[in-house]
Amino acid sequence: MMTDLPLIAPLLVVAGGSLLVLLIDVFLRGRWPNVSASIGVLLLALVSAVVVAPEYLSHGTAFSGALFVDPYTSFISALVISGSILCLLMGKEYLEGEGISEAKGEYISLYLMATAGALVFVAAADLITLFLGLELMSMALYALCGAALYRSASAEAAMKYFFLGSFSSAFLLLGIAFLYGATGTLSLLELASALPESPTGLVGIGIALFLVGILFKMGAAPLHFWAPDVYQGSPTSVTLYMASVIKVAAVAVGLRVFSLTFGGAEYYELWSRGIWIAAVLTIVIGNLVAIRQRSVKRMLAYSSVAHAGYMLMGFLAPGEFGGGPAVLFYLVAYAVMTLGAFGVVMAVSARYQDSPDSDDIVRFNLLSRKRPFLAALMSLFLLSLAGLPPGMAGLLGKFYVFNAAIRAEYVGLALIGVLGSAISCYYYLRVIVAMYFVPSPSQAGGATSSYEDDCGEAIVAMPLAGTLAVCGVLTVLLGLQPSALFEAVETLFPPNLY
Amino acid sequence: MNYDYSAYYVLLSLVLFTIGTVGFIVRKNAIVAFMCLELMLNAANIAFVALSRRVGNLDGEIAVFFVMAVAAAEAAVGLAIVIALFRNLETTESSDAMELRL
Repeated sequence: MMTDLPLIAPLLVVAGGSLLVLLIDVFLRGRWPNVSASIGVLLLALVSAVVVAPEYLSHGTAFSGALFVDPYTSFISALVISGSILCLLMGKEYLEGEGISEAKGEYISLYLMATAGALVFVAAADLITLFLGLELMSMALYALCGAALYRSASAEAAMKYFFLGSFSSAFLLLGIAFLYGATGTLSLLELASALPESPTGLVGIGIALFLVGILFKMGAAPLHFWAPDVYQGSPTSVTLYMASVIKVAAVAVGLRVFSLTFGGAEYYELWSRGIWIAAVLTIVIGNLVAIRQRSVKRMLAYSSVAHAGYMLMGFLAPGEFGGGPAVLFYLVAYAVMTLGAFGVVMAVSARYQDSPDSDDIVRFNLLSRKRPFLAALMSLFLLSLAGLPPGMAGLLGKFYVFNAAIRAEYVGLALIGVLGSAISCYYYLRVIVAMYFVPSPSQAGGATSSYEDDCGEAIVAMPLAGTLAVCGVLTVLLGLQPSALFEAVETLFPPNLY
Repeated sequence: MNYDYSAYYVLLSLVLFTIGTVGFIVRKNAIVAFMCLELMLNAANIAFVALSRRVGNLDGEIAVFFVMAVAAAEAAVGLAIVIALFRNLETTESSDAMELRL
């Protein structure tokens, strides 16, 4: 037992850091620890994750079968921690503007606690650990959504996320209870062998309820309705985190549970139909509703719903069809692009924090004239999300996923996916058109010149500029050298285990 | 003598869970919705205990302790969020919080 402790060093560092921050904050109210200190904690966690990575080559479990010790866990943990660092760095200078000035210590502590929860969630090897990780992550996030204490939109987002999130967690829990009742075990590994030959009613309901919980956390239709409201109402520094890190964790866990535990042919028949319907609904609804959004944050929220649909397509092609590595590649590319896009939105809307439509598409007009680099980066991210060149990362991600779906004989689904991404070009390009081509009203006739002064301005702080550059470079690199990452994630799926 | 009654308790848990679900959907008051959530979690707890008896090991009963701790944490976070909402909007009716629409 004690010998397993070094294995969870990253988790211990993050969770311990969170508690320490909370403790120190009581004595040095507001002065220290600041955001930089918690970035230090996360960096330390990343270093320890890399240091213990060789131990994770073994494909075993730790703590009497509570946590997985395998390359998959190691990779996703490193991804979660580095994503958290980027998100925190991006939002560093904007907390004041987002309304998080009085409770900075709590904000940082909750942020680290959510990351710790995500680390438990992705490593969980039994269903109760999985539930606890999920709740730890979600509970901290509910509070983070409401971190802008005196803005009613933030409180409303927190309430909606809390109620709907807990509602879906209750379904997940009942599903776990049923799976336990049918098999007598809670371990994800033992469950695979203890499942009855052909699905019984109890197991069927259990898997269905479990699926509901995972789809909700992924933000997939028909359980996506919280995502737009919560993404829009939360402080943008939290939205970044939800759209990238939390999505990565939920998709990674869903992929593992459905390909490892419920991977048998009989059970694949059972859940593949549910996921097929969810994938179609997610792609169609996400893309169609995104078209009519004026708020760019809300548009990106619907786009992240649509991307969850593409990832679900990969779920349907487990094992030799190559869906697993395709989903992971897509996940990394998606996280980088979304982080970048939300980062630019944060910079643009920072000037209008007091108005309710601070991220309206009108705010992007003429951005290219005043902030050419920012506009170019935003175009790169949006083109990549749309899957158009030169944003090759998104295009290749879609190619891998669609390819896996076609190999698993889901040609119709792949067609819907292609049509969905064709629709998505419209709303991504609309922002690019606004940034480059929409004339100011004074040229169109009539309006005052103060409008033009007011347009296209953005506040870009140093940390944000740096992280945006990192995201930009990563997007380009993933497009130019996809095989480097793809071959790396392929090794995470040994043929005999998944 | 050793007749297994667990099926009735599973049924009970399903009934409670359904009441919680319906209540959550129908009622608009945040506090009542909150009570319905607790009811759903506790229904799952009953299912855990009953099924633990049925499969003959203690894993399910141990799980209940964790779920109770989660439910307590949820109460703390949830009530804090309801208070934050009340400070901003002076209401606990979830239907009054409709700022975030298209």
